[in-house]
Amino acid sequence: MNPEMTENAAGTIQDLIEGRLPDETGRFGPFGGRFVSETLMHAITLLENQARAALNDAAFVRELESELADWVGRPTPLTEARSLSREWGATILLKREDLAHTGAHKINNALGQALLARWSGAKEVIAETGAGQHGVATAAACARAGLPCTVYMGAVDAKRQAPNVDRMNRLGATVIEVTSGDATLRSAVNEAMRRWIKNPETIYYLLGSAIGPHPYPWLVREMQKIIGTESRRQIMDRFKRLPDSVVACVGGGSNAIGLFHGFLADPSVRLIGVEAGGTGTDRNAASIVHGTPGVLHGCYTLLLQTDDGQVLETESISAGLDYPAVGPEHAFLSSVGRAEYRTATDDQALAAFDECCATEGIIPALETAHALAAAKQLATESPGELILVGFSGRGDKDLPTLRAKQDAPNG
Amino acid sequence: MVDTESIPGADRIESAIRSAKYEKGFALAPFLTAGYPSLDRFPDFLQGTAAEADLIELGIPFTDPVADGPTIQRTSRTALESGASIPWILDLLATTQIDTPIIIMSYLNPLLAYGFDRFAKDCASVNVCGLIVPDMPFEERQPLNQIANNHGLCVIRMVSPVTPNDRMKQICTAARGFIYATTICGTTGADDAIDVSAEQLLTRVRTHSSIPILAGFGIRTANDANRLSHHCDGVIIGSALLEAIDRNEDPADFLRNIRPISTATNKNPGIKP
Repeated sequence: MNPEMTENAAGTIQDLIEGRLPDETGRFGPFGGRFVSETLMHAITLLENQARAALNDAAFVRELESELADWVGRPTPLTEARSLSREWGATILLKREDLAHTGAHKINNALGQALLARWSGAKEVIAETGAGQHGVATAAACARAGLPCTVYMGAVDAKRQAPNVDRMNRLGATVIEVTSGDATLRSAVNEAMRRWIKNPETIYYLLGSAIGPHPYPWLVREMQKIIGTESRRQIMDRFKRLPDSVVACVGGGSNAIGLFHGFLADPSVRLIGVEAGGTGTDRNAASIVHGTPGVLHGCYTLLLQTDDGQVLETESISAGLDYPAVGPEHAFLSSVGRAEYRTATDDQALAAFDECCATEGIIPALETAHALAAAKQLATESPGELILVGFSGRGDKDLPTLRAKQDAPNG
Repeated sequence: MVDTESIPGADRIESAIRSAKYEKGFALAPFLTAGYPSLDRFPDFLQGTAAEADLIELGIPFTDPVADGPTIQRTSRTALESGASIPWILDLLATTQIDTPIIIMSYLNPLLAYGFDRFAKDCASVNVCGLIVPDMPFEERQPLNQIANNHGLCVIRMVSPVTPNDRMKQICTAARGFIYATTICGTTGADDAIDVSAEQLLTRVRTHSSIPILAGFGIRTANDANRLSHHCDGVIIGSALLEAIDRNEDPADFLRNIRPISTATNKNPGIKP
């Protein structure tokens, strides 16, 4: 931990539960903040004011709730995975964000922010995307809200998630393939930020994860916490008890933070975030498990970096988890010990993917398969428990990646 | 009061800019990516550039330079691949005689990794006068600002066309060394033509600032520099200089073309130093 950044850091889990975090500087303890160029300071200050005003405006909230119900299809179901439960020796419950419109939790945030963009009078929306799920969700939400939309996507990701590029185009978005840097999600964020700096007064930057400068980590979490609120209610209704563990995959960490928020104030519930273990300890995207504190994309958080503070390239079979940083609220939850973080490797995720397809009749996203792999591990460690898994998205988009892997001489 | 105490680095910067403004029409502050195009060739470029410069800005390369355009992204990547780092550039400065005041530009993360206090101390020992940290806005200036001041360095503040007036006043009041006015919204090296909005920004900064003002971002030609110099004290040239190096031009020649001393006019003199 850098002493310079932690001197005045305050904040406890109680502060978080009672809504005092992030604080007025956008911090969760030492993590978070606003590390952006002067040109963007005005834009993010304005965004925070507009977001707070909109979320307190009854008409805005009414429209958001009605669109979430009738256009997104919420509440999403809670499915008992009977075969996996039998095989793994625990009760496995799946919160089915894959059944939300466009096939992942990303739509909750994309819709909320697209309505906010329209409410604030923005002329154009830009977004970054990794797996393409956020890009598709943003393209759909902007079509619905009547706003033009441009999506920045790393060229590597555009290739491995080609079906999503088609979907974005069909939904009327312009997709710009980013070839700078490592041509994955992190470079897409860089390019989107550069475009935003050029027109901070007319462009709305619709960030897709709970990362970036304040207010994004807060705003995205507010849009995603419906996953946790619904899950808790559904479990209490059906099982009359809380889950023992709540498991979700973490790239930037928006689906996990949304799910965790429903259970933060229930100390008996273990919160477990699962990062991409890639092909091993040297080649992964696990910023909490293997990272150290630093500043990237506007916030102080945990990063995969060299001793010189240069950000490392990451590796994961899952484009959506292939990111060298993590949302600052996860860094905070890890530092105060409220949530635990572990990894699932590519191979573990692929094994869980196959099991889920074959026995539950559901094709999970490769991101989601990481959460399933960890749930299997947990079931082995503590048999018989009630485990809630954030089923963040559907896996149709991953079929080309899996096909390529099958066809590869060594894979 | 921190804001009024003497900071040797800031004093040197201010006096270098004021002398240049008075004697040469405007101050020329070239930017080089440290370690570009290679560790071996950089020292010569540094010497050649320093000879024509009133102030020199050295950029520590970073993997994710979000405030920079394609040229500095590329030079940063090349410099990193060839092994440029904070210890390398500090070692080079320790063994190179450069009389021109030096400013180090770095994104926050490499500085955090090196340690703020160690960095400020090591910079001061090799005659660095100031720091520019593009992803450290005014609100987040502490503790680095105080630590730098303790070692005699200033942290340069930036303003942009979208900085509101009340905020600009606050920033200018606390600033030392010079105000870095980014004449366009966007990243470094833009090829948008310098237009009237740049002049409006500089005029607006002038009403709030008692220290020198340098214009930067997208300044590519002698014309750009001359035009803006009527509204500020000097210009920062980065991407265009690095592109000249790529074309095998001598950086000193390139800078002499930007400010031909023989024709330099002194229409808007600063205070004689």
